[in-house]
Amino acid sequence: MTTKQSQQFRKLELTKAFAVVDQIAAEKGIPSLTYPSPPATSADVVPIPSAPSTLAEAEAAENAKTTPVSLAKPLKPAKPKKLSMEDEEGAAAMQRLTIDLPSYLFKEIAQRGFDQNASAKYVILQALQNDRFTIKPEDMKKDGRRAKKETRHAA
Amino acid sequence: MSTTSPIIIAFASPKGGVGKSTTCLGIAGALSKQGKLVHVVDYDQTETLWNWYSTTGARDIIPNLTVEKSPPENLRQYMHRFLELKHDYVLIDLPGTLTPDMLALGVLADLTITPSKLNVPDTLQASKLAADLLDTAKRIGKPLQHRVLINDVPTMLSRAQAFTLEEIDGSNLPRFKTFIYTRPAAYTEAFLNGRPPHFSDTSRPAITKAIEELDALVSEIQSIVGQRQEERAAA
Repeated sequence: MTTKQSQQFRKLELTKAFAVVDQIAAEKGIPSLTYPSPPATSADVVPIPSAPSTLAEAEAAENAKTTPVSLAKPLKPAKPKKLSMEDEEGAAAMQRLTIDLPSYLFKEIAQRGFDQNASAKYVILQALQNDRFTIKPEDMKKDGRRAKKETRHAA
Repeated sequence: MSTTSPIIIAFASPKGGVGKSTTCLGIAGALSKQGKLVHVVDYDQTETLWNWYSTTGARDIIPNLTVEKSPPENLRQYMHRFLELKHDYVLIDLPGTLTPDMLALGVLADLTITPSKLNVPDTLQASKLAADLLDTAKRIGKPLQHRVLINDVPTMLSRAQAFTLEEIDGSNLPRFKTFIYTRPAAYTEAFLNGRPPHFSDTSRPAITKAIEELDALVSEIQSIVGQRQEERAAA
């Protein structure tokens, strides 16, 4: 067999082999190796900025950054900060008191609050006010949540 | 210059880090030292051999050795070109992952070498590739020339390594008799100075030993591909 004949024979081998190999690869689930394609235009290539050589250059580059950072999701607007009690219409600063009450009294306070459309706190403050404790009118407020529910039910 | 089509040797392993590029470089150096015209195709994505050739001045040190970076697109059309090259040997360094192209090249090459260290993951992958290549060769109807090269062998084997070697020899996995021992001074240094062992300072014991084992390996390789050449000529 001459060199040329030998080469033709081997070319036939290649074609046949590729067909068989593709069949085997499909049977065994052997994946093909893929390479990332090069960018089509120079516009697709993002240039790498050169690193600043001095500290002063780095600071200047940092200060010169004006490009806004793009985000995948738009930021939600920040929730307004909840105001503390003393910020609301001149109300006094509050302190928490935790006490244990007889359950029947607890139930009675809850029932009174339900009847008056007021909070348990309001009922207790009202009782203390009747007993001549000093409670300023601006601190005597019915619970706002109940007022909203009332509005919703009314609507 | 060769008057027949080149002898194609593929370095294939489904696992990376087994020493394909390093072995390919050592063998390319040994064949070049014999005066053979050698062409290396670096098909590995890491481009280890291409970087070695293009950055270390190797082209000046070994004039009868050339290295090319394989175009990534359509290897199959590209493979036809290997047969038309006027070199004595074409060595192909394949990527460390099993692909249909690896099976095709592994079967069609005159010899496929799978380096493997003496550990279970390397040996297991070498066995799987051997089985896949054998299956492919049978279905293509072509005799397979595949050898495992035991690579990076320490001078003292641990019990696990000795056991792995026994397992390889007990199986049907064909392997070279020659071992490539752990010699960083000879093999990995080549990637720094551009000189494979055969072109390094031969006064250093590590280099001399590396040359001896590479010569023994090349002798085995030439014995295998010599038979293949005769078979092709007879056909």
